[in-house]
Amino acid sequence: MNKKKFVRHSIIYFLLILGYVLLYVANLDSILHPDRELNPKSSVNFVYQQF
Amino acid sequence: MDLHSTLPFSSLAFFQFAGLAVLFFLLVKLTLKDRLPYSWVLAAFNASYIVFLFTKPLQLAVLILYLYVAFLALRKWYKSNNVVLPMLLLALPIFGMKTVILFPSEDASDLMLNAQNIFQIAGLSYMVFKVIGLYIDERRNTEKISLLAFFNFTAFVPTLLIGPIDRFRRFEADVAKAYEQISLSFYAKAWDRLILGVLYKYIIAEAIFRFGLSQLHDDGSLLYHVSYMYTYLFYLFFDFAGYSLLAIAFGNFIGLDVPINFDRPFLSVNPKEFWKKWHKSLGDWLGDYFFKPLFKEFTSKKILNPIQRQNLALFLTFTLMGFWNGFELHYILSGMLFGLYSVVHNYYIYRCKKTKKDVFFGNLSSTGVRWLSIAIMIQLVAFSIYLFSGNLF
Amino acid sequence: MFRRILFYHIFPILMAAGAVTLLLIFLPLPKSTKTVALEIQGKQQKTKGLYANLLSGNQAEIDLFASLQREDQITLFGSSEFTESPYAPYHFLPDSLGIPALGIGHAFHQSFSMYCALLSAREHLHESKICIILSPGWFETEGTNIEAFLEFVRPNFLNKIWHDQTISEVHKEYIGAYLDKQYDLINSPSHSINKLRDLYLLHSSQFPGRGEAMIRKKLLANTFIPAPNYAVELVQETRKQRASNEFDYDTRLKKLQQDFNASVTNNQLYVSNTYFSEFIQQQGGKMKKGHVDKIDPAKSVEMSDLMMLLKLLREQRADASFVIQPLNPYHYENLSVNRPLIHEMQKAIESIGFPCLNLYVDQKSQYDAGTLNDIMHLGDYGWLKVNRFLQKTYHE
Repeated sequence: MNKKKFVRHSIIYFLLILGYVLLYVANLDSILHPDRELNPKSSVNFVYQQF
Repeated sequence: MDLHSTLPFSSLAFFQFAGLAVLFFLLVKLTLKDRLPYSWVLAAFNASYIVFLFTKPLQLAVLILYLYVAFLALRKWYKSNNVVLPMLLLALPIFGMKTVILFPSEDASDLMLNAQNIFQIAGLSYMVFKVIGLYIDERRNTEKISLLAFFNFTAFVPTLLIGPIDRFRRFEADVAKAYEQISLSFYAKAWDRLILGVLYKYIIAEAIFRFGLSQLHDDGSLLYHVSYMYTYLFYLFFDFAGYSLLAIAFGNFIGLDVPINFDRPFLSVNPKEFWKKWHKSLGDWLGDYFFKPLFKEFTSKKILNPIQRQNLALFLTFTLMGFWNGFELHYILSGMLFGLYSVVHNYYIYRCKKTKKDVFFGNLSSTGVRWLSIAIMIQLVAFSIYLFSGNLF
Repeated sequence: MFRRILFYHIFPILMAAGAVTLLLIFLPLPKSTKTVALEIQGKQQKTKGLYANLLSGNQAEIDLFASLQREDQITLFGSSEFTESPYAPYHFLPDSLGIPALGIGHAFHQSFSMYCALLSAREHLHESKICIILSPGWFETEGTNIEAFLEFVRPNFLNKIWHDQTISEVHKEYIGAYLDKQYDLINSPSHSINKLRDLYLLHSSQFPGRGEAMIRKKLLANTFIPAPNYAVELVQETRKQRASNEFDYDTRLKKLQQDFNASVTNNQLYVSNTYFSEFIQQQGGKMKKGHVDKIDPAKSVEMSDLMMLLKLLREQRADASFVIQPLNPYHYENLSVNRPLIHEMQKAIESIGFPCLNLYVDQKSQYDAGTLNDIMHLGDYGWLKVNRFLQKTYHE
């Protein structure tokens, strides 16, 4: 068994899990700046039409 | 799944599709291997992606047909040694796309909007480059290239969008042994690349973008430009290298060995080495299908002296790369700058050989030269890539 | 092979997961320094007229809260039929009868966004005079769209809902479920949007949503959500209220109908000339025909939203009323397919004891020409019928 590969994979998985949690589960920006107020907007524009 | 709106590796839907595809290939190998040729299975896979998920299936089908017909016609009737005309003919769709892009959508006429809709096909440039390579390699060959093989090569889903740019014969050889290659060892290799690709593209590049690039505010200062330059360089590397790793991994999962595209480019000591380590498949393509024929052409016509013609061919090659990225000034200048780096480096080698000493580093130790070269290369590359980013103008 | 997977993948994954867990548990999280209580003070400015949306800021929110608090004012919620017609109730009632009235809405403001806005003002709903102008067209959608939701359910409202401990989890989770469904369509979702969504996810058993919500609950525990409180000063009403018998509805109704019918000269559909030529008439003298989708009330998102709206109004004992608008049966050919839907809607409203003016008909012979200006929007004649219903409901 290759120790170097074991360490390399441990680092990769650590960064993957940490990155997933901080980028995609909880927003790191909101963790670091809990005071920041956000202004939600719709990412789609519905066309207001007659029918 | 999102019909007609899923580009490769752009959303969870694509990964679901990829997962199903891997399972599909494995099942076919286990049950129908002897009755169903791999090329048919691959074609069914490519076609199902294009028909159901790709953004513009009809346009892509027309493009592939155009390239196939043009390829066959050129091979049959065009007998001249000069490959410029065939290259231009095959590259016509690129000219269309790069030209219509120059017109901003907001003020474009209906005609222009239609033209943009028709020509702007994701992956078009890569597909055309693959076909040009195929034509140059096979133009003297009489062996039949079937539409099925052509389709699989050009529309190969993992590399459809942004490469790596494969070669037809290598790809065909791989297809021939693909069933065998669907194995645990290939899966292990694919998995290693997949996790690294995901880490690069979806974690590191995303973090650099969110907390670096998008946080920089343009106050016109030198510090802003320098910060943007280095941040963008690393963002582009992790995004692009990550994407390439994902493409290679996906290929491995279905039994195909896609060529590597990035190999520690920031350790390059000169421009030549850089293009062997950064977007390698493009560097190789430009070398084989543009630089070499051009240099040969210059040599046969005895244009300039050998070092001058080498430098001119180098400069034109990288200028072409700039145009290939787009007809906008920042792309062209970035390509020309890369060309200039290569010319200067080429001249430096020539001078060193001629004078039998290192005309730049003098008597510095080889380790010192190596690290200094790496440091200089990173600065040069960063600046050229910064021009490429379009953030400067 | 198994040993290799164990050594190179399983162990590293377990170690990495453990290390990340420890890191996140013991890492000190920054805390908010802001004061949670947010006093929104202001004076009521509108006792008549329309807010097409609530994007203009605190004043629109103050006027809505004021309208709901006033005993003499009617608050109307509707959608695309809300125009500047002098017969629209928020103009007609104040101008002609001296009854304060405020309209809130434009196209796509539907049951769910009305429900959320009213939920945020829950404490003021008791005996509040609220009229919902229902449109059958809403039931052909997948419920309120996210753009309308964000226009009408302002950040202050969601913050208030989040902090209000008296609002039951049933209501909060219902909003959370909507936000979860629409989440990918929201750019920079606010903390209250995230927390309401997570409240729903924590109680759902779906993987990985629940696990992710648990992580967020831990990591985003300190995010700041202000708790708004509306301190509204009501304006003195100076208009003199008129009794119902002081206005001759019958004569005016007759005249409005006659005027409308006389104005329609290019079609026999009882649709205004301009609407007909713009939207219905096709080349070669042909006419576009209308068809409605058959709606199964049990599967309709809009119906479910309406039920939650009714539940809220009933719980808070609001003095609510409803108007079911018609569709023009001269244009739509299959209106009878939704007879069960309309019936169920009316039954749900009336079973709680809320008055309901049902103008919906599915046969040409039953249609009162002029009720609609076109194929689905109330005209002056239709609005006057609504005004009579409102005056009868609230002022007799």
